Amino acid sequence: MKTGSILFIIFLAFMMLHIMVVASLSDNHYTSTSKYDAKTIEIDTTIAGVASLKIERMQNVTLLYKNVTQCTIKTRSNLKITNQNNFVSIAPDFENDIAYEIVTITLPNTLNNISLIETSANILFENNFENSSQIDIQAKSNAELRWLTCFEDKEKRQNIKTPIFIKATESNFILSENLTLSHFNIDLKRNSTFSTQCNDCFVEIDSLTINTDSSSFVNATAFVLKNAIINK
Amino acid sequence: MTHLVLSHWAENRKRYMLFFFAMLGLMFFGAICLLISANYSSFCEEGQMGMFMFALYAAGCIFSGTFLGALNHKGKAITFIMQPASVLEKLLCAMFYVIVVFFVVYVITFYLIDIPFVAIANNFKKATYQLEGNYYSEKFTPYQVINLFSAKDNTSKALEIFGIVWYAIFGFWAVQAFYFCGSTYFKKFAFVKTLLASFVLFVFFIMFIVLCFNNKTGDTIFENYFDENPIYNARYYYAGFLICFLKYGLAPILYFISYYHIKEKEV
Repeated sequence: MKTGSILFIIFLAFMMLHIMVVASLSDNHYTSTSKYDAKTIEIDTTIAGVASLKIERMQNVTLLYKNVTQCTIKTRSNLKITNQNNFVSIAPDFENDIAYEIVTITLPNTLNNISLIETSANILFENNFENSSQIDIQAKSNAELRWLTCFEDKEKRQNIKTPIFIKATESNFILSENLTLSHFNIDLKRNSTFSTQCNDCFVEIDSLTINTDSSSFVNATAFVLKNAIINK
Repeated sequence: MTHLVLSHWAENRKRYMLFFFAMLGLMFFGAICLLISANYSSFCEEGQMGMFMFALYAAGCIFSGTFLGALNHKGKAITFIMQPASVLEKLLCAMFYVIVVFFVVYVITFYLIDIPFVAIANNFKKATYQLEGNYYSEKFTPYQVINLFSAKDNTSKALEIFGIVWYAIFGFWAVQAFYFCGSTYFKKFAFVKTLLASFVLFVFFIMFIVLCFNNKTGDTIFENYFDENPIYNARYYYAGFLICFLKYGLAPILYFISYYHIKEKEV
């Protein structure tokens, strides 16, 4: 066979190989057979320990992880994550027409890094984040973020030592439970509000920094603040 | 090298001029048909883009597929082979005509047709607006002649369309290289055989992709790559490499293969 023909065959094989690699990497996402009916999805990654998952219109899904070091999750529904190893990045991916759907996100305590990005839905947080090293949340476009305690006994106070960074654009952030926070850093932009909404609860914060623009609003009546900086 | 380019022009001047006028005539005919059969709205920016791409792929493939037609005729092939230049020089000369000259001439031809027809379409649009203008509250906005070399404004939609145009142009250079490669490989009816081969390969690759992605519900690696907040991991960089390869690698590889085909003809 001539050199040109051999080169062309190698070229075709090279292209086919890449298609197969792309397909095999894409297969990494789901081990569940059904996208809509599954109540539990198991993810066991073997390639680079990275998973990316998109869940649509499911209710009360539990995710079980094995060997995952980094994960991006896009969800439209209630989500409970267990056995997560190191890092999770959650990006609820809502269309405008269902932007007010309420999502409860329950995260395990073993996470080191939690990053919740670009949500435009109402989110209820339910976690004590004991072992997490940092929590980043970016909310935009009519999001309402509420913090719930994970304890059944509501009198018990949730003590979060993890630094929490929140960037809110056109959104409301509400603390409505007994909380003790160590480091709390909030950036409010474009008609965003930060407030406490509880009658007989209070929030104690060691170090609070709030940056707001002129259109945003802070209502912190039930606060016990130790080191507060509010930049307007 | 300059001598080779000039001598090629001297030999093939008539053929290229005929090709240019044929292209101009066909595009004119196509534009008239569009104006009559559809209506003036075909000359909106997306419509102009569609016309540009369709004619570019069609004319480009014919031009590159028949460029080395001399190799298919014994007498002409001997003249081509006997030219006092290396295979690389001949290939570079061919690439200059196929990639650079054709593209420049095609863009000029396209604008020669597009500018007057957009003006005509705007006249039709204005006449319709004046007739029905009372029913609409919006202002009259004429169609603009598309600018292929810069996004209209910095909005994300304009930049996205501009990005897609350049992906399509890179794709065109790869397809054109494939037809050029075919014209160097097949001995008789090179263009028809390349057309057939491209169809067979296209069907084969589609079937192969369908087979590989069968029962896969997850996103491909490209979803993360084009995401606003991508995860920078091995898959991200692999997707980057693949996109880079598809954009910049396909055409050079096919010309590299063509180099060997021409070399084998000389032997």
